Amino acid sequence: MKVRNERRVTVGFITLALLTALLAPPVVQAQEPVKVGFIYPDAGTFAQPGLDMRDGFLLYWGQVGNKAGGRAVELLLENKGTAKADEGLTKARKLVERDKVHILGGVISTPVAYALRTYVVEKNMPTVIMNAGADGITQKQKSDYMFRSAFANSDSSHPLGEWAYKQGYRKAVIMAMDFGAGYEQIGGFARTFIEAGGQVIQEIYTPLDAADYAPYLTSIKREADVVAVFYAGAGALRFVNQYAEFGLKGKIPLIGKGYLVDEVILPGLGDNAVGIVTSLHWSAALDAPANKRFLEAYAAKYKRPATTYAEQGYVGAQMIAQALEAVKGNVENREAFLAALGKVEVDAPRGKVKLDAYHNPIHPIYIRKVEKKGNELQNTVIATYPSTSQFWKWGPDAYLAMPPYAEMKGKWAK
Amino acid sequence: MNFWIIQILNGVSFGMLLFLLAAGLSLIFGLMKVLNLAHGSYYLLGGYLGLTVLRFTDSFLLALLGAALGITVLGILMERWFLRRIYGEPLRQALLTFGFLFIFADIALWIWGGNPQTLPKPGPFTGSIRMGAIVFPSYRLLVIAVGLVIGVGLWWLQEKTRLGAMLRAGVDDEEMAKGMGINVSLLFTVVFALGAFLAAVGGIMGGVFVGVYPGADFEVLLLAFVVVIIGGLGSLKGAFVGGLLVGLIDNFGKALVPEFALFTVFVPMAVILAIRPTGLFGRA
Amino acid sequence: MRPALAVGAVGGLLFLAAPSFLSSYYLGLLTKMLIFALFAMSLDLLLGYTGLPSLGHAAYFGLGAYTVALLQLRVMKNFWLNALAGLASAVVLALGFGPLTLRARGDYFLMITLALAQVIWGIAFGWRSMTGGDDGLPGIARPTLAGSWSLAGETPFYYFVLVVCGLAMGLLSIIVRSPFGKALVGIRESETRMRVLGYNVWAYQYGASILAGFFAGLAGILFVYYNGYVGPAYLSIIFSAQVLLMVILGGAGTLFGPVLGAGIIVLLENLISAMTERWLLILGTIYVVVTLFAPQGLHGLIPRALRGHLG
Repeated sequence: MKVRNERRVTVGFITLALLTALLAPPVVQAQEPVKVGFIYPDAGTFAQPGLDMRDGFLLYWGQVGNKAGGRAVELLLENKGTAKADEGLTKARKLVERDKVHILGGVISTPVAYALRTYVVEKNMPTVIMNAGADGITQKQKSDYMFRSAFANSDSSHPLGEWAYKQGYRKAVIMAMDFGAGYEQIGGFARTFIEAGGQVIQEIYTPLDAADYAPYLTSIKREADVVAVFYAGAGALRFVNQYAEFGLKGKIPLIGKGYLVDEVILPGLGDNAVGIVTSLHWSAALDAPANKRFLEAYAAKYKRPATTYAEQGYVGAQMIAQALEAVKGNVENREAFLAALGKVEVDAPRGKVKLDAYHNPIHPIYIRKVEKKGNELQNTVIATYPSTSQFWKWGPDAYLAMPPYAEMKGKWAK
Repeated sequence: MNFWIIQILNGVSFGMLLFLLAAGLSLIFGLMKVLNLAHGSYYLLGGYLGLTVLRFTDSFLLALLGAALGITVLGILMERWFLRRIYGEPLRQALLTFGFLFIFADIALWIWGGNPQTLPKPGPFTGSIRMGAIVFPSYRLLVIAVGLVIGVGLWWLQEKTRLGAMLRAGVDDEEMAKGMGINVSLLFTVVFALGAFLAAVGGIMGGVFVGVYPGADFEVLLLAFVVVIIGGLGSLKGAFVGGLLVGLIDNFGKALVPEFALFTVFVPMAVILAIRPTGLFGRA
Repeated sequence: MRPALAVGAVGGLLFLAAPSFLSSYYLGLLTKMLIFALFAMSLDLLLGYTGLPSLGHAAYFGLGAYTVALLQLRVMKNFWLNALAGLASAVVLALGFGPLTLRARGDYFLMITLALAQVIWGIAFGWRSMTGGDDGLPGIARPTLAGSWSLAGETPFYYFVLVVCGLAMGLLSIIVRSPFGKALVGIRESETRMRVLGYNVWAYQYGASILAGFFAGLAGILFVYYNGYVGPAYLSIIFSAQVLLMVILGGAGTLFGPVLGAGIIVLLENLISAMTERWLLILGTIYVVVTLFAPQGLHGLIPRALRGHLG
């Protein structure tokens, strides 16, 4: 009798359990978070910019509690091994196909951006590029799915050409690293400088792996009244130091793109950098409340100063968040989300940023000068070109009718 | 005229740096037949270590000695614990040393970060010398001097000391050397340590004007191999001449034919190898 | 022999059935592993079997890729003709490089192959109007074979790669077991001896390098369709070094070893980098450990009974 009782109890118990399960109200599923995939390099020359970009990106999300548009935001970071295009593509595949992200972000290098373009179009994946600057991505190769929070290589070069002419410079020698970005970065300067009435008397392009700029520096034509350059990273460190070492500092003024005197290499340049004027869409010394807040928050969280890459990652996050707000979190409605991304207007550390019809930022460009403040060097802002677009004053149609800068190598000097 | 003088001085100073890197590699290659792909890492770590010592002591000399010593120890450890087990097996050496290249590169990134840095110049050499219309950084002249001193020192070591004699014997014929009672195992360690030492010195000297940054290890490794191959395996003279040759050709090539700048290092190498497949002073 | 055959059969079935249990991302990863396996096997023919260590093998890989990309973007969309042209270009390059490189041996051979590959890389990097320079050439659509077999989807492309790689591997297998292959091994062991026996050593080495170039070019063609993109990176020292590592890690001179090496490296790189930032450190440590504890590479770790027909 005991056994039959036990069996009854067991059956009863199971029945009760099943009934409870079937009749109980369904557990309210929290709405699935918005998944944002982020691709960045963490090895080799692009490692530090990659890490900075990521940290800027994370800073913003941390500040808003990892949510936007009423939904939680889940960040999936994928560090691709090197800056190899095919590895970036593999990481993108992982994010899109395995992790089912709704948005892609990050991307430091241009080859990765170009390699991704076909893929993100095929997969209808909204993508916010937060560094790669190749002009084409938001010009001839514009896509409905690719947006930028950073810059087009030439967009902050245009103002410099005009500014240089206004200072009285008439004969410029231009120098850049011998690859696509180099031609675009310095090409923007050349075009506006010539249009203002100046003359490019010499063009010098140096190989990417040049350790010694002496051969080039000594061949600079001495009748130049300004040397305008694009160098970045270790190349910039070497170039500025060697410019001084070989006696050109003080003889011919040196100007160029902001990377020449990026905050991270200023300590290594010391006095050799003082007086150099550059143009960029940001400066650590920019005296604006949004920038000050950003710098403080970044330094507090990461125990190191922010860089332009960090700022770009931050702005990328701002854009994505604002677009999510605009669609009330409904990122699944792709058309609406893409439209919202196109219409963002954010208060970035660099100033007000919105996107043009080709999805490139319209933002302030700063002319900065390296000055000593106490014991440290900084890029003091000496002039501002507000709301500058990649098409400068020409407008998209006139601009796109002109040959792209990458094809103008060797054609500036007369 | 000024152009030529500066180019020559520049080519020679860069060549001296290459000599420092290639000398050790050539000896290691020639004597031990060991392919050490982590040689560039010694350069990089030497530079970074020097930077750290410099930050703490403000003395370039201490940085030079300290870092060189540190890397020498690293080299000895690598030789005793790892390379010793795979002598005579170039493929395994390639894999092992490549693994170390990755390991060192990541450790360097972890400790010192990814931003490019330079070592500050030592006190008396921060300026540039003016000789007429020519302005040339005095530090580069120091590099030439240091290169020459080390070159002479190595020559003296190889030709005039017992160690050198053992080295030459070992390079010539290892079996015989062993048969003659030479402690080849100890010799190998000494040579490897010397190679690491030279690479570290190169890292510090070079760190001043080339800089230290992620990727420098790989770039430097490539150049060092080119010099060793051009000069010939196992030949100090080859490393010296090869270094100068590559330094000068690279400089002049980049200045005179910038369109072909990407090839200025590899084309001469290919040409020399086509004519003399074992390099200028190497043995067949 | 039995266990090896059984393992082989199971393996083959798994590969055939893969799309049914692997998601598109993992299927794509498997496709990548197959392509690199082919690339690695092609190098093994030269390095493992003939004893010629090349550090410039990416030149053939990349040239095959670029030729197909350029033809597809600028000339015509006929897949078969383009692929043929791609293969031909790799073969022609091998024909040209052969006489230049085969004068050298050992480490010198390493360097001259490196130098020549760098020249090709430099051309791809610098000739912007033709190759897109450092930006590369994006937008290479997957072909549609005979009728309406579009390879655009992950699964059809996987099967295509599987078939091509399978055939290529089969071919390579036959080659290494043939008298030609055996002669190569003899040359690797001792050139002098083979010469004394009357073999035209140079001709055999030349033949091996042409075949190696051919299969590397084939892998490159598959890769450009896989990514839809080609760039100078495909011709770089890094690529050449990576495939060299795959061969050594897997076990040179075994044909199957490099397949393992390629698969493991592709897998590890992707898995480990997803888990930690210190993936380079871990990968490097794995290389060191494998060197010390697996003297014949990963292939040497396979129990002898299973190796049988595979090695």
